Amino acid sequence: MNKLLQAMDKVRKSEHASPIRFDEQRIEREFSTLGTFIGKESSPNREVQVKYSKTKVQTNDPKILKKNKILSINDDDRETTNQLRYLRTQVLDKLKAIGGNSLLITSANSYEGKTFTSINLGVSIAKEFDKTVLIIDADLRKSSHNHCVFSKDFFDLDVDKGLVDYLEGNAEIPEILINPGIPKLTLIPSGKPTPNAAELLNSAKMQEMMAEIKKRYPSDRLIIVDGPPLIQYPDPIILSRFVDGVLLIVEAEKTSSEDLRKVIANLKDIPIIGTVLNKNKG
Amino acid sequence: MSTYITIMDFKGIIRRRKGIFLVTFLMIILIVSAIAVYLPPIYSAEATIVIENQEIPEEYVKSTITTYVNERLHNIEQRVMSRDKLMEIIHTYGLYPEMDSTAEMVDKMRKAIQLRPIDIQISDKQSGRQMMITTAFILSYEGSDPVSVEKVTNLLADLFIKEDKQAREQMAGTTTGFFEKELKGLKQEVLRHEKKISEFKIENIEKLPGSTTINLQAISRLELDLDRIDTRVQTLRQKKILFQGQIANTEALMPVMTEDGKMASNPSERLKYLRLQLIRLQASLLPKHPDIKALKNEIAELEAQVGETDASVEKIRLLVSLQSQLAQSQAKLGKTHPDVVRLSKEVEILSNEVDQLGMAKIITQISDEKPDNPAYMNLKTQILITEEEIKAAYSERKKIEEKLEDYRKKLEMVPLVEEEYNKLTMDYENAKHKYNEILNKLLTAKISREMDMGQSGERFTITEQAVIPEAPSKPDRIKIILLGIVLGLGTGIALAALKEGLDHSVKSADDIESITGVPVIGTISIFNPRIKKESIG
Ligand SMILES: Nc1ncnc2c1ncn2[C@@H]1O[C@H](COP(=O)(O)OP(=O)(O)O)[C@@H](O)[C@H]1O
Ligand SMILES: [Mg+2]
Repeated sequence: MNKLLQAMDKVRKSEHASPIRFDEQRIEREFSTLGTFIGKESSPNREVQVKYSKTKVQTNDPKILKKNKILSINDDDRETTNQLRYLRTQVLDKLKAIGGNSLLITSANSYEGKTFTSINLGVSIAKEFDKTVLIIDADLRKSSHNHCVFSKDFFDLDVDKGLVDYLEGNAEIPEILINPGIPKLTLIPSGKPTPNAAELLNSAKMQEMMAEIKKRYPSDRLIIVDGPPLIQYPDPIILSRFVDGVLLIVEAEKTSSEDLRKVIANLKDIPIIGTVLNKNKG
Repeated sequence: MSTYITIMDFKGIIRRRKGIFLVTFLMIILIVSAIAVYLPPIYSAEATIVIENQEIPEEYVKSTITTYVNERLHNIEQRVMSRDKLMEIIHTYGLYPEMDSTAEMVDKMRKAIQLRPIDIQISDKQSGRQMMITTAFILSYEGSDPVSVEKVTNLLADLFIKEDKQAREQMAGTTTGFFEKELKGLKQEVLRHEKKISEFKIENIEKLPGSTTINLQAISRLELDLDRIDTRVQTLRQKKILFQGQIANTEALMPVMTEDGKMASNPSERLKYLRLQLIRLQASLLPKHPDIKALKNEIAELEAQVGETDASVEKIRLLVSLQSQLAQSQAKLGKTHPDVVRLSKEVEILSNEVDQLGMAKIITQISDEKPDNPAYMNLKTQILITEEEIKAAYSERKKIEEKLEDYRKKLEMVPLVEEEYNKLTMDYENAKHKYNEILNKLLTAKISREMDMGQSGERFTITEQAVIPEAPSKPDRIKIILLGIVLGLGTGIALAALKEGLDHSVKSADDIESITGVPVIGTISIFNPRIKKESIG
């Protein structure tokens, strides 16, 4: 049933999505960017670059991105864009204040806009600042029906390997990195959903990867971890260990005050850099 | 959350809840409108029945109907609404064909009939207090067919009038009936008393107080008669004495004249003479006097000669003359004079003898004899006539006395009879009085009944007949729809409020901060990419 649906979805999507093109030049350029994240040295390593050349670089039609609510790439919608800009500034200020470069975005329940905020924040920062941004989709559950798949639903990207594959030891880091066609922005998709997400996230491999990523040029790099909902899963608590701060998303007129209180109680000892009122209608 | 609602909050509430509100609102309106449209039309007809007041003022004729209008109306309604009456109407007009239970039909009909009293406020004439009185009422009936509705309404109105009339008649009849029965008994009573009195009257006709004067008159008349008879008897007696005196002096037989010019004395004359002589001598001499002895002897001789003769006439004649002599002597000489004493003795003896003689003796003596003297005979006849007359007067007197006695007795009885009579009369009068009283009451009641039954008493009149309704009276579709709108509004608002109340979601940055204590560092509005959002699996 599910597979059938997914298949149908794919067919449908492919009708709207523009075909994936491989732009040699672009790949070249992006490799260097990626290298800053993955490479052990600051200077570009040819071998490494060759190795990474397998990473797909996909460009998207801006209209489709807009349709998928990735706003930061153009400034058409003034209100939301401005709001995002303000949020971006705030986030960067707070991180700077605590001297961090990594951020976990979480919320009480799914569908409250964690992924939306992660991507828009990332895109916005990558576009307007001299910073490279890595967005990790750490929501390995994705079981609830109204959950949006990070790469597919927002970027219309078809990926075959993700974080799960890496953590299970089926892939190396470079294999799971993806560039959505936006300069200085790299994504790590979650891969196929798994029921033992907590164990995987709690594994040494995850810690290793996070430590690795964070240590590279901390000043001009930003790591955004898009987490699962907090009420249902312990995952965000695990993930919070790998980041410098937490950004809490609250959906206006949806998230109940009871849930919010629970979330705060769960994040008792974890630094929350701020909260975001999302989907504000007023 | 803030304790007061700001305009912003209010706007938020409207934005959030307009959906549920509109859905409820429209749904209710839709349902109610459908009901309003599909409800079958119901027609209603009305008849106005006015309660007309008594036309004749209460002071003159009091109605026998003492119940209040409302009470009566209620009773009549009860009767009109009776099961049988309604079933009859239902059958006649074929009402409620869709129903088969009679109880249901009657029930439905009862509900379809309505009585609406029209009250007006008036101030009471006596007390001046304000009060409500029912002057008319509107009878209405509703149903699905306008024609039958009109007919049934008018029929019902007529029924009301009829029942009212019947009720009034009955009530008036009860009163007169009561009086009539009473009167019958009283009449018998009066008749009984009347009969008693007439019987009594017949029994005591002359002893009644009314005949007293007649009785008294009769008595006085009789007494007068008695007096007259007495005087007549007196006169007759004197007349008779006179005649006797005359006859004493008249010889029954023609006197024989003697040669000496004296009348030849016959033995009887001689006897008479001797006897008188004896009386004269007896007055002055002792009885053993030789003269007296000689006289007696001669008398005895003569008596033996002539047989029994009578000297009574002579004796009476002598008595009269002696009496007059005595009277003269007494006046002249006084009572003690020896002459007077002698005279009075003589008169006494003589009158004794005369008395002993008696009338019968005189008459027999007269008749016995065969007188031949015409004068004597004439006198004798006169005496006889006079005697007869006296006799007649006596017997008349006796009769009158008897009559008088009778009347007196009657007069004595009057007070006793009167007492009895008065008692009877009083009883009769009492009965009669009672009878008259009831009779008066009956007459009044009859007049009242006439009034109540006729057109002058308080009564019901139809002033407005029911007409075939042109438009249905029910359902008031607009009203129902308006009601639906109100209901929809109410329910919508209520549901929205309920939803808002049950909604514990976070609505503003302030809410978040107050709950978490963490600053809100960004607000992202809901972003609507004009292109329709794709459904996400
Ligand atoms: N501010 C916003 N305006 C419009 N749509 C939004 C907004 N935030 C999130 N969404 C939409 O909500 C859905 C769920 O968001 P997502 O980020 O996938 O939630 P999460 O990752 O918390 O489960 C997505 O379709 C997304 O496009
Ligand atoms: Mg998500």
